[in-house]
Amino acid sequence: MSRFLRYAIPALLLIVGAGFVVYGITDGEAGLVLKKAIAICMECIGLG
Amino acid sequence: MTELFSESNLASLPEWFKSLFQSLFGFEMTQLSDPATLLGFAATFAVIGLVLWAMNALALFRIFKKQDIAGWKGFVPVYNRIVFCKLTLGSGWFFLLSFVPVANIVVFIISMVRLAKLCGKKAGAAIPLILVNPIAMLMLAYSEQGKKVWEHGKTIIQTAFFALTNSFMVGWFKGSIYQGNLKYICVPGMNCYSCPGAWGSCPIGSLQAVLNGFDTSKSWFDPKTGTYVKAPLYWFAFYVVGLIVILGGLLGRLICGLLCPFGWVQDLIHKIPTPKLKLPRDERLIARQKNPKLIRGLLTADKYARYLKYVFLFVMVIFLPLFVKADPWFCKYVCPSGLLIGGVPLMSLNQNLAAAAGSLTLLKGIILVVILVWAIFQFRPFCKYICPLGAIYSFLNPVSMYRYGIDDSKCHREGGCSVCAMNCKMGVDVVRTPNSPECIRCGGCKASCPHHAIHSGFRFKTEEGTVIRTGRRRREKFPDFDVENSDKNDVVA
Ligand code: SF4
Ligand code: SF4
Repeated sequence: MSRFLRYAIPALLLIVGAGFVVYGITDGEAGLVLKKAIAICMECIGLG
Repeated sequence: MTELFSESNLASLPEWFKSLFQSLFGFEMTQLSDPATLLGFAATFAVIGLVLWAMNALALFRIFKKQDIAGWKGFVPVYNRIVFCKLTLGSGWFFLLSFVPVANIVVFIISMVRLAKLCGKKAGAAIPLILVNPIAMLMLAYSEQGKKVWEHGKTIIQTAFFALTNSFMVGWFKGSIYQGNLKYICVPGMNCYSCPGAWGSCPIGSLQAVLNGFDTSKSWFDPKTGTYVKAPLYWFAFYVVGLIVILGGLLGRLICGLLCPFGWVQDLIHKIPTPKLKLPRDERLIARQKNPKLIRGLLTADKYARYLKYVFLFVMVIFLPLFVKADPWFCKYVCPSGLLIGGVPLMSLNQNLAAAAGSLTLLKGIILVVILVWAIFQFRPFCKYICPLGAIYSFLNPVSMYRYGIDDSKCHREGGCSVCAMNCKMGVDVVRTPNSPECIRCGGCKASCPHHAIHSGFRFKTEEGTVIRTGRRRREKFPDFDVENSDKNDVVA
């Protein structure tokens, strides 16, 4: 892998990741994550 | 003491401060009048302070030893800072500048650059030292000093990271969970968000939560099948995938090696001294075994079983939550981490929750016990065959910013050395594939290489003209492992 790609690919990943995060926040996904995370998830901890 | 936090006493505090407190800690200030909450709140700071102090002291202990300074000096508060200033800046008096605003930041940055150089790194290596100081200091202090020292360093980092990310002591004291805004953010590893101390969210749980969401306005009742057809609210979890891509793009599976709580648990369990299942990977070694056919069969089974984690990812984390809805399928029916760090403590701290245990608890209990017992004999079975988060990071591992690289001019593979491959418990030959999707960046190979041919980091410091190879090397370029030679000369016990 060339030196350029060695840094360009992860840099691109970070930019794409940041774009996804911003889009996700504006679309309300972050709120859904918080809603799920602040209540005890009975299935996750194996109750039932 | 507790009356101090009554409504009337707190009335004089500005509203913004009270709401900041609530969004950060997840409960109102007035709740501090409850003794358990107050105790937990104070313990949170005590634990965070203690862990940070221990991380710093243990790192300084090793750094001082490396520089021929008595290691105990690293454990003495204040004095360790004076010695550190003397080592990096030339005079202990610079310590006084830590009390001067702005100057302390400048002194800190300069001392980190000097420290990186003292340890033989480029100045750029100071960036992680500045940004994530406690962990980067430990990595720097415990690396390149042999396998045993690195193993200690790795365990310290894993333990400290778990302690820091699960240090909401109010939850541990009261059998409840953290409900503040930090839970918007996902932690890097498989850390159940229902763990009483967890400050952040689990990426795999969050991914399923988003894909599980359904749009009631577009959902409809199908009279033919008698079912309610749920239309997905989101077809793609941009927010969670974005966070995973950022973390994985930066670190790859270094997260698995150092920062994941369930990886840490498996590592600890694997330390129990029993015979270990470790498959030899080269023909000469296989030929020496009692039953080479069985070994070859196990190797083939291992190779295909590793694809199972992708099946768990695509079926239980993506497909079923998106199209069948109802449950976080992976969390509910498989994830052993949820029961271990969420279910077990919550059930033992909270009677009401314990009363809710039933058949699902039994199923998950069996899965957990099987995986933990398995982990005694084989290194990280969950990570190799099951973990969907490891599966996602495995895609990012070959292209992440943090990489492994081989200095072919130092590597003795052509002469038959195979120490690194024999020391890799994940079954990776780092010389052939330095950034294999299966490599969890545990550092075992690097620490055991007698010729210092393996490099890791965001950038590699090399002498002029040396090329560090991060890409794959073709198999036929190497002779077979020279086991005879390796046994005598190179294998580190
Ligand atoms: S593979 Fe999964 S459980 Fe294992 S260390 Fe990585 S994220 Fe954690
Ligand atoms: S190749 Fe090295 S760093 Fe990767 S898993 Fe194996 S021993 Fe650990």
